[in-house]
Amino acid sequence: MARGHRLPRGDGRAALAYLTPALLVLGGLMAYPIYQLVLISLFDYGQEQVSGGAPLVFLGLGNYTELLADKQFWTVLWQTVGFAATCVVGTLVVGAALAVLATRVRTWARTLLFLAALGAWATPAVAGSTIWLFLFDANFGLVNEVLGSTGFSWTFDRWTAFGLVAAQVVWCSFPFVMVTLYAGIKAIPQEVVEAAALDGASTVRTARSVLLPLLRPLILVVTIQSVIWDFKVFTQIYVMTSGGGIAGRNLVLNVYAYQQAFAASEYGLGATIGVVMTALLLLITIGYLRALRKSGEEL
Amino acid sequence: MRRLVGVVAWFSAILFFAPVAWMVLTSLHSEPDAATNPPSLGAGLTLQGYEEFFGASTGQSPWPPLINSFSASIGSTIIVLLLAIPAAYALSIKKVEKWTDVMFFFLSTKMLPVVAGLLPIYLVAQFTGMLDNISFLVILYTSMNLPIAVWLMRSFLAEVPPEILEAASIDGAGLITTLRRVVAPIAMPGIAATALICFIFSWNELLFARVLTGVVAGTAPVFLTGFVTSQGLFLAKVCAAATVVSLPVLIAGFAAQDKLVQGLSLGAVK
Repeated sequence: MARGHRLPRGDGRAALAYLTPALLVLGGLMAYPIYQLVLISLFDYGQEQVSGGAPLVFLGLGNYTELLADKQFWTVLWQTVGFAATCVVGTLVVGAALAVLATRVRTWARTLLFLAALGAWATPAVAGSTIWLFLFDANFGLVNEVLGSTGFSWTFDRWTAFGLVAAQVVWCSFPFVMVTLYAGIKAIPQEVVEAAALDGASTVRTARSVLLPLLRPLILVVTIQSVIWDFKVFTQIYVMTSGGGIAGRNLVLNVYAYQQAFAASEYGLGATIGVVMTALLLLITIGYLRALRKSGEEL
Repeated sequence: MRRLVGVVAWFSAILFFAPVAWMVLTSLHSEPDAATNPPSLGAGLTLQGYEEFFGASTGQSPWPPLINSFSASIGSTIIVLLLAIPAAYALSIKKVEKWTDVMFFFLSTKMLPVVAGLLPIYLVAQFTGMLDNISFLVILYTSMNLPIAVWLMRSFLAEVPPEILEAASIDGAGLITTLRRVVAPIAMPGIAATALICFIFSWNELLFARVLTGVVAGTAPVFLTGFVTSQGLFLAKVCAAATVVSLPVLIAGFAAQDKLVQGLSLGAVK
């Protein structure tokens, strides 16, 4: 049965067989935590409840109304959206530019580019954040030394702090975009490009009408993946702004949830923030996919 | 336009490479040289920082965590590829009804904030007696990387020209043969990129490893974080530690780069 590769559309059985293992692994490993998360978000679940010292109190949507009435939550939410958007755009622009560059330069230059990207990517987030802090240190940092602005604190002001963290996030996530798009460009058969050139298409024209459509599925993947990551940034904010900045003014949702859940031992409220974040990400992604499909994109 | 892209690209390449270069250089300095201001670029080089990291004075060897990280990253990457390639093949080459829904299911599992998933997953590990067990991390990283691997592989496989598959089918090749002999060579850059990405994500994962492991199964990032916390003021040591932990990814990257470059220039469709 599995001999024919161009199966008629209806015959999904063979295809389903290849899909099932992956679906099972994911369903089993992700469904349960999500179920637990939603469950916990409906209870007043604190330290006493975990240790069994106090009975569980079912709140229903109590945690949600409390959260939505909290002014700080809304500030943090908008901050997160803005921060994530900046990071996504930055990552995509830098990653795509470097991917294109890597296809155009000599071998030694490409090796250097990859070395730079891999070095940034390879540095674990904690170490990377620490190193950036050293570099941008007010009194002893190399950056202030070069700019002649010794004594200027990058992490004190709310916006320079956000900017610095965003730059660090872009720094450690652009290699993913670069490597993926580079592999995508490389996988396009050379003949397609040559054919376009034979037909007299200019470089820009070839890029726009030949390469871009072929790369769209990949661009879609890296965009969505970046949105999901940058919406969930944790380590960089946590390390670089010492847990969310002075009076929490550099908080993003993930750090906020962590603070509520683990620092304040309000697991119920922390779980609620988790559910809200998941729901938001689902909405954003569905919206993005819808918009793409509406514009005639074959996904 | 082209020139602008070039300038931006080179500028960011240099800018983004600087922190890594600084890190490696500082790791080779002695502590007093590393702490000077302005940074002493020309100071003599020493391997002291590395000796310290490998336990010259603390007696704590970083090898067990490094080996744990290798097991978790390589193990999960292999499992991810074995699961993702057939799934992606089904989604890209053989049309599945409503495949967008299936894809979306894969994607949606990535949306759970890690922090929020910690507690439930901790409870699962505790319940199954898998706390501080590297196999649990392998399973966890597999499920964390599977969605992105399926998505990426699907896009890469979509670039495989259908004519080749038809030819293989006419020649009477079965699924395994087709995947191994026809699809894999063409999609090699994609497979290499996907493997690299999975490896890096597993290698650098910190939060789960920190909560779910202890003395036995602690990974390199966990060790590194402890090291930064205890030795944070010793710049050269910290940089040496970060360099050592980054090194396997650099090596994996170079291994994969070769495959990426081989690419499709072989010219499969004539």
